[in-house]
Amino acid sequence: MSIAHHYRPLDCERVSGFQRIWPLARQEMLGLFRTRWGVALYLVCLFPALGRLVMLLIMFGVVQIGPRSLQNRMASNMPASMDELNPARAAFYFESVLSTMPGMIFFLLLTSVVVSRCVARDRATNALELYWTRGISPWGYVFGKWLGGFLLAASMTVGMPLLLWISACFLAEDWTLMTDTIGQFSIGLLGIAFMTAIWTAIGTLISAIASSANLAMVAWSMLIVGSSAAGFVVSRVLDEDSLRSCLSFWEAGRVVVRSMADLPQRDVSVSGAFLMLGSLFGGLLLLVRRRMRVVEALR
Amino acid sequence: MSDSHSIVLEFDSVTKWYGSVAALLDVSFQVGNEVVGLVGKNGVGKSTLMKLAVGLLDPSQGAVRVCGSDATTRESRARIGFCPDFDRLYEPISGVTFVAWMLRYHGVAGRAATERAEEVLTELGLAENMHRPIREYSKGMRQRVRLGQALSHRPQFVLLDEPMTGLDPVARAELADLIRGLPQRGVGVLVSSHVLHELEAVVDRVVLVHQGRLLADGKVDTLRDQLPERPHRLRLKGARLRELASQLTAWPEVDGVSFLRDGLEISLSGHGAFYERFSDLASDWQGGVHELIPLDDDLAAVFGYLVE
Repeated sequence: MSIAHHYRPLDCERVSGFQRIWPLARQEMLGLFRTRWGVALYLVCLFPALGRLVMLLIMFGVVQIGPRSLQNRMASNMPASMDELNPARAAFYFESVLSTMPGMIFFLLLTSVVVSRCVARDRATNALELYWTRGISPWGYVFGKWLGGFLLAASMTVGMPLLLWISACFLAEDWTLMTDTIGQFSIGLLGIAFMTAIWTAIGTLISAIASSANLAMVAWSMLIVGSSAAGFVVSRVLDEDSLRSCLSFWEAGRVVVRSMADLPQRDVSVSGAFLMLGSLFGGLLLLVRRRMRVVEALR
Repeated sequence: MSDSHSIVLEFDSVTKWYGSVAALLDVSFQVGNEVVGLVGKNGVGKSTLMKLAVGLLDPSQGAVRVCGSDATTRESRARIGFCPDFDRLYEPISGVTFVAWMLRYHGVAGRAATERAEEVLTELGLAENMHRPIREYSKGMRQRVRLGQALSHRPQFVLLDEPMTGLDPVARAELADLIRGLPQRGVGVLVSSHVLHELEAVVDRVVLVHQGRLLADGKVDTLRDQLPERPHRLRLKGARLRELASQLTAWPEVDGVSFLRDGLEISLSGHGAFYERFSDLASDWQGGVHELIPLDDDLAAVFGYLVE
């Protein structure tokens, strides 16, 4: 065969599975920042953390608003029920992420654009075959998409509390805040990372079974908002608050994180939350397996 | 058939079953260093054939080989460039970024991938626009990016699915030139398209698939000659048509002559001999012969006859 100079075989290295997946994850992670709207959306999603940062600055006296005595009272004499507003407690740093408002709303905003559309968009444009002929297995592809979405979401859910906590440690007069909160904060942060992984994995799996990107986005939004509403209504009607953590997708994650970090919570069912998330994840995994079965030859 | 030393794709008695439904039955053909057209109606097994060729499916029976290796292996995939029929690329990134990104899956490092992407897009005539975002590209430019990603890792065989779709005539002609030039660069091509007259202008031979079976494999004119039960039809325009018709009906190669509004339609049984005799007649014909056009020698007609 005559092969012209330009088309001599390219000098390629043998690449590992992760090296094939990482460009996909990286592309997924950075895709949001390639448009002005995407950058704007990400910045908007940082508002809750910025709000907390302003609170920190006020409480530590960096920014002077109101009488000094008020700041001192806020920082030192808060009752236990207000731990979520006290920078000396680990709960303060998690609240902007775990609360229904604003945490859930901003998480939904970010993930509905990135995570829930990722696979469905490629299916709708026939781009899946392009990846699969490049040596990425269907599961490797889904993993890469999830990894990109997870890292992006984690930059908000894990990165922001971490930055807040580091800021507080440096703003505090001594290292007492750090030594008092580091244990609980670290475990809580791990819990949030774990839950972000589960939440984004569920979002990616929904995307992998949906026939269109818009359908995936609607299904994902319905799952988060709808299950929260359903959990709230059912728990009120049956007067059983623990049902909320078993029915609400978001509340289940919140309960798991608070339980891991040993933060106080009442009338919740941790096992119910695990069961809810586990069954949702497992069920979706089976559906995705069925949907991806077309590509039988890829090993 | 292709030269055995240059076979880049080989279907060897391939059968593919989906449950109890046979998508392909005992299909055998080869693609060498040439452009081969894949023609068939929707739902006759064309997509299955293409998926088998790029290693996305395993055959139920038989074997699909790329450069001698099983099509589903990584070695084969490295030798294949696939250009699927998708119209939306990653809109915010540039053409060169997209091609470089695809190259990374083949183990080409960051800077080298960008350089190779620039090289291939320059070869495809996208040098001036390759750094612009894809969302600003025309259809023709997008097709070049698609082709670029398929060629970037220097494959020995590329599979193009509907590459002409949505292109304007100028872009189609440019793309056809690009495809025709690939065998000279050592790249075999299997191209699928519904635009048969344009496909015919690009390919060296065609593979016709119908109801899961290989209906025909060869050059269009050879295939046409293999349909003796289908007389060749010609349209003739010229002077003194009645006299011309009376002469032609006496020829043994002419099955029949019918009058059209402004010419004659001639049915032939042996068109080779007819052309020899007719060239002598036309050169001496008083008033001249203005036009002689084959009506059913093209790919669309051959395909139509074969699937009837």
